[in-house]
Amino acid sequence: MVYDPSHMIRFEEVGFRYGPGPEVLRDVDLDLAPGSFHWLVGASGAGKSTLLKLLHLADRPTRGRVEAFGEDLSVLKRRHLPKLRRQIGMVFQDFRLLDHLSVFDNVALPLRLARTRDSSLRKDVGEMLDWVGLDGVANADPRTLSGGQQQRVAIARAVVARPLLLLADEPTGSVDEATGTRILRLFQELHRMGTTVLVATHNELLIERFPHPVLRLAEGRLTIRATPADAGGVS
Amino acid sequence: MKTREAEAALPRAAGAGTALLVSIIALMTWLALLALGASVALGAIARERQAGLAGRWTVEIAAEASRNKPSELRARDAAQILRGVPGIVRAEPLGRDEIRRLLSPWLGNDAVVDELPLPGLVDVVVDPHKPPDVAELRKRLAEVPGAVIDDHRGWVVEIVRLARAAEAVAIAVFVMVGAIALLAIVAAARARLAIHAHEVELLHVIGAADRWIARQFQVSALAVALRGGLSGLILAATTIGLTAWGFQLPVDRLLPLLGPAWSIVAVALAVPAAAAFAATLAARWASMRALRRLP
Repeated sequence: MVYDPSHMIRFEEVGFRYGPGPEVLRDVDLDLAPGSFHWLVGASGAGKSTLLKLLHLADRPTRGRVEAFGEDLSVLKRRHLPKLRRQIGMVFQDFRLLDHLSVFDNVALPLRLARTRDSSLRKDVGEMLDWVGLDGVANADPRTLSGGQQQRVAIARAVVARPLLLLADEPTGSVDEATGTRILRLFQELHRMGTTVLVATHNELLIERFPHPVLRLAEGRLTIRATPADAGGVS
Repeated sequence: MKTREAEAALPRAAGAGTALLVSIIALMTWLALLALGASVALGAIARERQAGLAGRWTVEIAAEASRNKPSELRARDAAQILRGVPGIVRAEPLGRDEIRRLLSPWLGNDAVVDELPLPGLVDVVVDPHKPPDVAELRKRLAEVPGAVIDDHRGWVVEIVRLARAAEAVAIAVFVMVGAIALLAIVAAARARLAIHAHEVELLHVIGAADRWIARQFQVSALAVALRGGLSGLILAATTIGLTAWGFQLPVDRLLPLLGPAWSIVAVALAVPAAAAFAATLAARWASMRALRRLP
């Protein structure tokens, strides 16, 4: 399956509810242009996590239409979703590293899922750890690392397979300011290399320091919408 | 770098729960092997008895049936009559010493036994493919007082029927034990899925296909089943060896009845191998079923 790079993610009148509960996302229209960088903000309970869940294809909307890389999810068979998910890198607030694996093997996981050859995998993971400044801890148990280091391992894992889209949920929420800045610089660098980036945050200071278009969620509605035109370009 | 270890994207099955599962599979394999062994042995013994007695009949001459002629002489007369009948290969009266030897378990070997009137016996070998008509033989032997012909069919049929019933029960035990072992594996796979729900969810979200995740459970189930199966095999071999030694079973005579040595070893190894294979399939089925519920 070859994905159309001119289409990233498009939501049309998307709604989502958990079971029989109320709608947590309502009439969300969103068109993430390739190569764009967006912030996603909103109060707790506004639906940020749910929107991210739909963006990284962990769930399907209860109504509306979601298109990912030119594929309409409402008609796409379930068996095709894993390959589509591998085009998306996800950085979680709580890192979600696998404690029984070394740092190296955590980062290598997406490459193994993509059946990358061992020789190429070693090189790619080595380079990625070097890029996030963790080349000396490849064999370490993730639990022995600081929060900032663990977050950088999570970032390395999210981007090692060169995803088309990088999503991050409060990536600086559990780290100090200096580490947060360092993480954002990594995201900026990825953006410069052409990766589409969307970062959910509560941190208004970061948004001021790294100005990009902002998607604002309030009570399940996306109140400020980004268009491909105003979100593109490199800051 | 521990790249090989990453093949196990889920933590290796370990701890008390795994030890318990290994023990359950070991006991199930032990039971299955004993049931299978009993089934095969009973079948072989039944076949041996059936084949061994199919061509051997006996004519018994009651000692007290005639005061004029001793049973030994009447046995010779009966043998003479039988020799001329088509389908009878051989008819030989047994001597007094041979009859005493056969009766010694019941009468003992005291000198007083010589005073007892002993029955006459004729050992008859018949053509198993064209046996003579028993009713016709009875008519012919009517002229020998006290002569009764026994083709052993009655009690051989009973014994074979009993052996077959025991064989069927052993097979049923084998199947039930296999089913219980499979259920244990399915329950273990489900428990493992529940324990590692977060890891499974992460793998799912970063693009692992269901089959890839299920393989993690399969590998774990295979390892557990192989450990349990081989332990069960060793236990079963030890049990059979100790039983044969304790009850002084004629192993050198019984083993060839089960088949060639290589086939016994092959069947013994096939049971844990089948357990491992079935465990892998059960783990795959359980994990795929759970994974399909994910979006």
